[in-house]
Amino acid sequence: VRWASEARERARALVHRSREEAELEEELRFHLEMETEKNVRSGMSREEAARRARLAFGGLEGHREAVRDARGVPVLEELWLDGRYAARSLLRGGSLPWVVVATLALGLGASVAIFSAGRALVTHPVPYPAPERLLSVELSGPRGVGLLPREEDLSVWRREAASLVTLAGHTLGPRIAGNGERSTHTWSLEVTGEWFGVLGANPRLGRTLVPADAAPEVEPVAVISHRLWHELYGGDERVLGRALHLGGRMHTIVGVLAAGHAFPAPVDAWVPLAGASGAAPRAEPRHLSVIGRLAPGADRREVGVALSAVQRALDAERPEAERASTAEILPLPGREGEQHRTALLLLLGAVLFLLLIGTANAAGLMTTRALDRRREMGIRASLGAGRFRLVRQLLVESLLLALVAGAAGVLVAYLTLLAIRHGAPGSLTGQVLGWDRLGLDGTALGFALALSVLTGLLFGLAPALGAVGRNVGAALRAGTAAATEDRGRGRATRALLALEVTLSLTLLLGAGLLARSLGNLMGADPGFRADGVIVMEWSLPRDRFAEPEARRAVQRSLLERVEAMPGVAEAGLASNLPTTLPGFGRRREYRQAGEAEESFSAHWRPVSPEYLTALGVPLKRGRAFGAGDGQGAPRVAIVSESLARRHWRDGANPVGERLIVGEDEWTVVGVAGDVHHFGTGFGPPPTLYVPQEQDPSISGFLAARVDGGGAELGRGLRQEFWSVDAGIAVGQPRSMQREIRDFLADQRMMAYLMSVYAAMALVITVISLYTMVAHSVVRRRRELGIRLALGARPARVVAAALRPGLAWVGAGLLAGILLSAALAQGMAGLLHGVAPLDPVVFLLLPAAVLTLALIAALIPARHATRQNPVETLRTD
Amino acid sequence: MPMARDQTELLQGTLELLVLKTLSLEPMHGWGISQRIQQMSSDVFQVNQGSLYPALQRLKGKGWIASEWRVTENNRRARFYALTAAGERELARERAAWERSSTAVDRVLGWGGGFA
Repeated sequence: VRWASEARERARALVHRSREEAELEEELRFHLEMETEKNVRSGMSREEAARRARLAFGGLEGHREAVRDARGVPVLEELWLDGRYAARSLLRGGSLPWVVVATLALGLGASVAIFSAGRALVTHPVPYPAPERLLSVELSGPRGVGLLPREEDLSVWRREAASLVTLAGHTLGPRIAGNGERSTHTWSLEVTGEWFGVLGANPRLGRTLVPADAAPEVEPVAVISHRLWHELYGGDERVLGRALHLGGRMHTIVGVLAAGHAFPAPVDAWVPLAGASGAAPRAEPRHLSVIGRLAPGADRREVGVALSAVQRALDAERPEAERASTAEILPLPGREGEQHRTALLLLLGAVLFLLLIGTANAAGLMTTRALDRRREMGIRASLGAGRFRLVRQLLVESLLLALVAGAAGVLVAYLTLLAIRHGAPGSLTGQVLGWDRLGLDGTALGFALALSVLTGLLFGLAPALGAVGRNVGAALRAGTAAATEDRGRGRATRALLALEVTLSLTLLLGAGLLARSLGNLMGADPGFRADGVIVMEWSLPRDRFAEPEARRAVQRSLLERVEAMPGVAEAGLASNLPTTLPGFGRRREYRQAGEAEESFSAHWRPVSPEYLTALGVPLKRGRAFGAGDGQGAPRVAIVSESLARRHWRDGANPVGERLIVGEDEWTVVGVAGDVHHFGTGFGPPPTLYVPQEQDPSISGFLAARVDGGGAELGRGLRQEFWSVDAGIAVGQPRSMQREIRDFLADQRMMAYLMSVYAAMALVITVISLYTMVAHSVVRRRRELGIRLALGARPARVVAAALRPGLAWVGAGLLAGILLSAALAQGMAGLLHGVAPLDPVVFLLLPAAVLTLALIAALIPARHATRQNPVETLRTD
Repeated sequence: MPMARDQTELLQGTLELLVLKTLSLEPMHGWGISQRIQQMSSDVFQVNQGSLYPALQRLKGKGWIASEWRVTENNRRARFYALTAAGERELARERAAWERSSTAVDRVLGWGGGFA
């Protein structure tokens, strides 16, 4: 029963805490009174009796403390008491605590937001069963990394590595899908039969694709995404069996994927790989992206070794330049996922810096605050409060601040995520799996809580320990009365300030590099004129336009119609736009006639004669295509400058030279200016332009240079296409500038977020500096006042007030430059046309920070000279 | 507070034993207990209030004593403590243990003469 009564006592104590306290108070008072009376009886005066009684009794606070400890439930209730005391003291603490809360909330919020984004994108990228067994395979070799295997090689891989891994391949299919009445711009994927089996994606309706669907005699079938099901078929449950027009070909819908199961994310339709069974031998090898699922017991490394061996055997019979025998096993989102990972890591680093700056700032402010309160601590200590008790009190204050900041941070994170989700246009949101799941969940909230507590401890502990010295007497004497500043105690705050300067400068420099890189990308001469150009994607029905002659005819009439439209200055057709990513679009192997067997690869662009002029691509040598370059005429090509440089040195004229592509010989008739692909790290790709008439493509883009007329004209363009042939699928007309902007969305997002974080960091640092100098001036006002009273010139007094802070700012700047120089090397892959040690960025930004620091420090410092010395000397 | 040479500060366990003993005579308030211990020990033991009240709290927590608010002879409200049945048993146990150990200590201290 002992434990029972003990538990009862504890429970009672918890419930009746305040009554217990009052009773203890009364009991102790009673004791004192009795002692006093006893002393009176022994002949002392009442006053003396009371004094002796108190002396005999000892420190009241200590007794209360000891009884509370003995009562056995100190933790909860004392924390409650501490919390209440902390709240009161913080509310009385002026603006300082709020500065801490605000700066920490920014850091915490940004961290939680990026943590959530990172988790959504990196940890849970795919919604399929056993995602850790999913992988993608790429090849690397002398030609580079991220290469895709040939279709026929994949069949060999599948056979040879069947015990380790199930493999499937896919390639991008047509981009325009319709239901027979309306069409929409989308992505489709042609997949091998095992593809859905590897992925394990669930259908919402019907089934996914199976190997039998790829047989040549089977009617074409398609699986569509949840999104497309709603967009084209209104979410109709009876959609199975209906027709999907994809790239102008009819497909029967056999399944609808569950929401969120689309892979890769922007794809809306999946169809069997055309000709996968090998019915029609292909003129050129087709390359496929490869995904796979590990067999039980197999590991990724094994698969990599096995596939590399298989590929080496296949490559042995091929020319050196085509070899790529190292199979790289990547997690499923593949290299794109990797790139986003790098970007996310950079952002994560940025927000952690921001959080560190906030924490350092908080530590600095809390130190300042704790020092201001040393007298209070001294008084409490002399009343009998234990050292641990006081440290705990200060820690509880820090934790309370951190938790308030954490709560505000969650709000900041929510808003940040909202901004990311809605602010990032198509390319980012579309290409990244899991982007739609971006949000705050329990884990993110737990992370926020843990981070807040950690931060609170981090910035609270040192100031608390420092403030509660062992020497009560010194603490009591400490206070604002001292004429000069205590040297040792200012140092910690200044070191923290230096750390803040270092970190925020590093962030700023990183953001500066990215911003300059973005500026280069947007401002660089792309090699063509985007303004005033409207582009529109189109695709011909495959079955009716199988014959090149049919394609030629329809393209001719399309161009005639468009060129006749009022407002259209020039119009051209091309198989691809310059904004096509390097991995997409058609490439062909070629060699120089009369040269060795060595073959090269180039972008293959069938274009109509006006295309280059419409896009403003300059002709550097030779002639443009003309009406004479039709079918039956000698095959002609225009090469890009980069391709010309590859083969003809020192400006030798390539016009008249001949190139062998496949079986045919093409004569170079001109050299076009280089057109830059946008994006980091991509130079102008070597390109071969050939006349559409000589190789008419089945799908492509229209580029029209217009004199105003925007949306109206856009609608007109689609009508003209449909009046030629209602079966042509047509995408949304867009301005070329918009294409470029969307294309750069990722870089814009990165530069934007980094700039925002860097700006936040700078604001926090400047506030920190201002507060520190302001406090230092207040603490030293007697000293400064004495100097002024003794006739020091105000300028010298300002300098004296500034000196300690600015020296540390300088040290911080230097450290920041060195740290950035080291870190910038890791960013090189994200930079375009900017050296990692770009002198403009590395000179301008530190100078700007120094200027801001000077201003922030000057305001309070000048205040010191404005005061009346007499007034100052009189203050405590 | 400085302690006189002939006064001894009580060990925690000893203080609790003395408190139980004191309360076995009659229910008493904290001040009374401290006075009584001082008296009974002929002023050898000075009871430190800093130990007394936590000790009372501990004894209460163990269920050996109970407390209630009563009015004193000169009409003041005070918290009185009284021994519980468990407290009485504990006192008997403690006393036996004390006697055993103090006899043992006496023997050790008296050894020099006993066998000479």
